Amino acid sequence: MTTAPPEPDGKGLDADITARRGDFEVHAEIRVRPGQVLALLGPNGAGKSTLLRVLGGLTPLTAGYVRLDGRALDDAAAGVRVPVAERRLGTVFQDGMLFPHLTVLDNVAFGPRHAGRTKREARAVAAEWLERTELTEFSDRRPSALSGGQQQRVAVTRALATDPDLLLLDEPMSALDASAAVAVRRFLSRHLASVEAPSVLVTHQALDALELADHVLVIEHGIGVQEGPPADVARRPRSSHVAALMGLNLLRGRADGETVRLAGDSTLVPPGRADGDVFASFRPSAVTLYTERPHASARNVWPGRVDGIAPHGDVLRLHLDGPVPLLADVTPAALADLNVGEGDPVWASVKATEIDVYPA
Amino acid sequence: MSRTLERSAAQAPPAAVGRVPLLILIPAFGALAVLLLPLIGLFVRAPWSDLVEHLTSTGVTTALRLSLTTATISMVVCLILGTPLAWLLARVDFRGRQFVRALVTVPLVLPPVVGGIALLTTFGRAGVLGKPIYEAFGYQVTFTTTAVVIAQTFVALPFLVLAVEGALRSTDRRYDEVAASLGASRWWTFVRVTLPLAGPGIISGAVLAWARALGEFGATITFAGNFEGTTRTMPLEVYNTYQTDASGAIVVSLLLLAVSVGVLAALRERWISGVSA
Repeated sequence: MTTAPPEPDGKGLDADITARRGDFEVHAEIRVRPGQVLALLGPNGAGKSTLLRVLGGLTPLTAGYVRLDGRALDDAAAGVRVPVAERRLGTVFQDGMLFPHLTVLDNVAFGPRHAGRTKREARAVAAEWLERTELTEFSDRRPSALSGGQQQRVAVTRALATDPDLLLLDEPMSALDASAAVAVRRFLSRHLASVEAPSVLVTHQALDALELADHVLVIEHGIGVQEGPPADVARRPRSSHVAALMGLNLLRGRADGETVRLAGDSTLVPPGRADGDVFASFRPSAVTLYTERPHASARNVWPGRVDGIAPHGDVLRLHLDGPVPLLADVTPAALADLNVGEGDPVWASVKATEIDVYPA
Repeated sequence: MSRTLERSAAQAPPAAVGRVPLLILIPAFGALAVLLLPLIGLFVRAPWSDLVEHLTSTGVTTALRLSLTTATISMVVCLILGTPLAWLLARVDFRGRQFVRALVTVPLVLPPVVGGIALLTTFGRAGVLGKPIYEAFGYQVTFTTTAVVIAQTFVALPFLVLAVEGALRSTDRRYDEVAASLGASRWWTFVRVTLPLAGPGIISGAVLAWARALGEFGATITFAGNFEGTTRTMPLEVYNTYQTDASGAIVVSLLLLAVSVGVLAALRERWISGVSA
């Protein structure tokens, strides 16, 4: 699985990585143009953090290469491995990792200081950055005096202040509570826009990828399984995991023009002609439930059994078990009218026009 | 000390986990008795009336000055040599690391007199290193203040290395990665991140080393001798005085005790946390 091709002049990140993570192998080709943000999206343990550590020089690759603006950072065949400190990176770690013994100002000045500036110059650069990110008021505080969200914003500022050739963000929102995550996500979206270097964001939250990335590479079991612009990946997932991340139903089957044969003996009627192996995806809110087999116009009707009910925002999300496992969203009032509970049989129907069918 | 015990016993919720078992309480007080009774004896027998006279005798003041100077120099030498060794043991995977760590602890279990003899056979005028040095430069280290510092460093260094290694191990290694990813070389990471983060542990290691150097007797008297003004430190002064004047020795002992307890008490919290780290 490869991402967007590099620019003709070799600018940006171009990597073909094979690395070991514990007892399994991680492999992906990663290409990011200058100023673009690539999200590595996938479940925990999929190997996306390992890929980021390879890019950052913290984990060796076993085969392949990492090239940045035409310069080899890693090359397994040629035995090249540029030390972390010489890669000109900006890295944001999961839980901030601000130096606890330094003030916010000195944390941000740390990168410029080690890029050869004097203490005074480095602090001036740091002060400028803190002003740009509207964190000046925290300059003299220790990290322990800041909230998690504030710390993470300082950590982002610290990474940006190194004027990096490559920006790496490792699950920057995952250690935060929901409201702090929203604030940091907005902060990132504002400040990533002005970054000229390529950025790689590791996340297991679809929302992060949708809001921050120009391109998404989905990693599962150590390999890239899908890539594309976030909206495409969100609309047309190609794995049950991505579908679950996006909150979509995903079915797979074989189409012969007018119908799609699903697993078992079930069929699905696509909105238009379809042929060959296909995915079909639709939103849980597109599913209508009945207690008796409906005779309405909808031709996609499957029997099922309510396997679980959980609140999901304003609605209730029902897990249906049966020949076609489904997620269905209903309002509490609708569920009360249906008068079904866990274990009860139901009929589920979906209008063909609500279904997106695309080649597998 | 016993007051602290009473207070925490009173604060503990008695009903929650039950009374403190006697089988624990009795040996615990036994341990306190072993530690404290000799000191009480020292206080009881101290000639309080002519205390000042004993303390201001030139022998005592000279020995005290020598002890404080040499112990402090030894501590600094331990810090300069021992901190890098502790870092290597804590941060670098090299072959034989376990073996090196075992070697570091040898002086801990070696009787100091044996250490003194070992130093003598190495640095003495006829020693393995001492002989060529003497023949080349006409200099011999034995029976000089330098020998005192060497003997003290020899016995104190393991305390520092072990304490600092523990402190380095308990600091989050990921800060090293953060520093590197921000462009810091390994040396500057050590200086600006690792050392400050391990600061409290390093201080407690230094205090331990200082206290051990201050109390050093066996290796010093064997290797450096017992000469007033150059090698007769406080422990040796105690020993010397005791030959002729038992109550005078008690006074000098109390002074040594007061100095070391004073320093340790000032850093007690860090000292204890450092040892456990």
